[in-house]
Amino acid sequence: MKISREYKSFKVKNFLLNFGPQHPAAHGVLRLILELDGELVVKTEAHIGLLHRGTEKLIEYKNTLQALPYFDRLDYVSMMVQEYAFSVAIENLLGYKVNTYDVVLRIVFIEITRILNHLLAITTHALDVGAMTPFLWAFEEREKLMFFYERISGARLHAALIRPGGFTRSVPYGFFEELKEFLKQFPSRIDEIEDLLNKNRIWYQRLFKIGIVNMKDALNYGFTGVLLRGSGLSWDLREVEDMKNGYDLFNLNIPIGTVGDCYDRYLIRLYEMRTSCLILNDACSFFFNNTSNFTKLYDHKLMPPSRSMMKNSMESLIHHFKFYTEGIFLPSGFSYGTIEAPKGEFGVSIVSAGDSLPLRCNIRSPGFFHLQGLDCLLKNHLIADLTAIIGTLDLVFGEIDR
Amino acid sequence: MILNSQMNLRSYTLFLKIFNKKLNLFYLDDSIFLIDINYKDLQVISFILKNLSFFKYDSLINLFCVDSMGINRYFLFYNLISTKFNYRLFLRVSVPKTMVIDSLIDIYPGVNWLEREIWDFFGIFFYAHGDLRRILTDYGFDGFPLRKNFPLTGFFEVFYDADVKSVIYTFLETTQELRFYNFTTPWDRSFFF
Repeated sequence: MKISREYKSFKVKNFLLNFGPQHPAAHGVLRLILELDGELVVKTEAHIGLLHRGTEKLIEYKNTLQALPYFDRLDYVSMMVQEYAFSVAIENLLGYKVNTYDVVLRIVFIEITRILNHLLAITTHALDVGAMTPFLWAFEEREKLMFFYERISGARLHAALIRPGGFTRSVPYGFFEELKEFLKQFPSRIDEIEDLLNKNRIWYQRLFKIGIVNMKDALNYGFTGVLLRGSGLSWDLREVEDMKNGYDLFNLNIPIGTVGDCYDRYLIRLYEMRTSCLILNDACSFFFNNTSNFTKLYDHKLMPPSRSMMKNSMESLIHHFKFYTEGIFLPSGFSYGTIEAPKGEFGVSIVSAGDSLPLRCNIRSPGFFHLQGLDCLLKNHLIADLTAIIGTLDLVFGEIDR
Repeated sequence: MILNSQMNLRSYTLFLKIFNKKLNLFYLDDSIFLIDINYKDLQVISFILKNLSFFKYDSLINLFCVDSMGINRYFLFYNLISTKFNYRLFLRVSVPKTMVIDSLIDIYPGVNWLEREIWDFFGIFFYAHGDLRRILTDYGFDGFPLRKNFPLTGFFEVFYDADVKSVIYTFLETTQELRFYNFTTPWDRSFFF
């Protein structure tokens, strides 16, 4: 509940509380210094950087192929979206356009990732607030989705699949049939989660009118994604830049909030999962109707030649060697690759000085901005609302600390 | 919605009319562009960009710094979007030798942590920021790690010492030097800056 602070007749010193880095509701290594007036939070100061690994510095010393797996490890629950942003940044720098088959295949994995992320975001939020069952159910679904990751890349989480220039591997046999099977049953799993939470009195009371973000604040603080849409502005890069990222092939429904509170954001996340299901269904029918097959890119400046080609042609052998030692040559210039990640706008800016190593690779992570706005969100709330608000921000420290 | 390059161009011509200066313009894409501005004009230009109804760059999406190792060593890149007209704009500012630049915190409050991050990593001071502390590095960290003259391995290592029963800092000792093969690229190396 938001409580006004007018009944204050005597001066007391505010109380400082350390909401330590090991608190389970902190979603990782968040350290907060809370200034409390009784139970009211007056001021919040976030100490971040406890998971800082210097990704941006490391990428300056790595060629493209070596740098790509770092992007899986930033926001470790929406992996492929970040690979996509990096790949697009490199492709923009080279002025390269991917073919339609690869564009749609990328969208398939982006949407799978979005469902993966939202399942975790909603249910860990519920876990913080006190509902444990959705968490267990969602992890079963996540396991099914990670199976699709595993089938194409061999890894459950850190796929390193989307590369500049397309994909490394083609889709295994029967992949889309299995995806279709999954999509048949998944909406009813969302229904089950909704049954448990939507009209649950505890869930509703803990979330309704808590952490209200108005549109002006959201834009001023650089919020994107669900936090911005929750405040009532329809801004989704999938729709806004649809000619660039290939979403013009699909129907998109962008849900927006009316109140801008935690409950709105919960509903938006649920709706986005349903939209992702529809996009995946459309994409499946695209591949069923599409006669063209996966073709690996023949430009060996971007993609290595196949093993057999390498053994038979001298030119391919040279390319293979140059690709794995020197990497992709980045022409000098600046490029920006961006995508609507499940958490908001994820962007990669690359500045190159005409070398195979980038001069600078900056990562714009949405969580960094959302955590920055925590002070504004949490002001004059009770300390018990802290977990509800941190949950709704959907924080992952891999991307915030970088 | 389509990002309209015509609209962006219109916004740029307006820009020229208002500031009556020759500004360098680069197209990154057919719809995204980048302009060079002087650091002295930064606050004024961003205020106008945010509030004038022709532009309405209402959100600062990103700010980052580049150490170019050139004559003008540091460059700041501001990434602004206008949700109303669907523009995206990059402002490039060369940081003066004094390493002090005006803070945009009064215009875009979201720039707070970004400026702290740049102070932390590059040592660029933002005038009138108010709360310019280190943000991502360790408590008591010394040096500016994203400068090109800062070694990748750093200077200190941190570990738990079982004898002392606490976490200690020692000078870094690596059994093997960092193996960084700086291949000379046969391709054209024309510098961006």
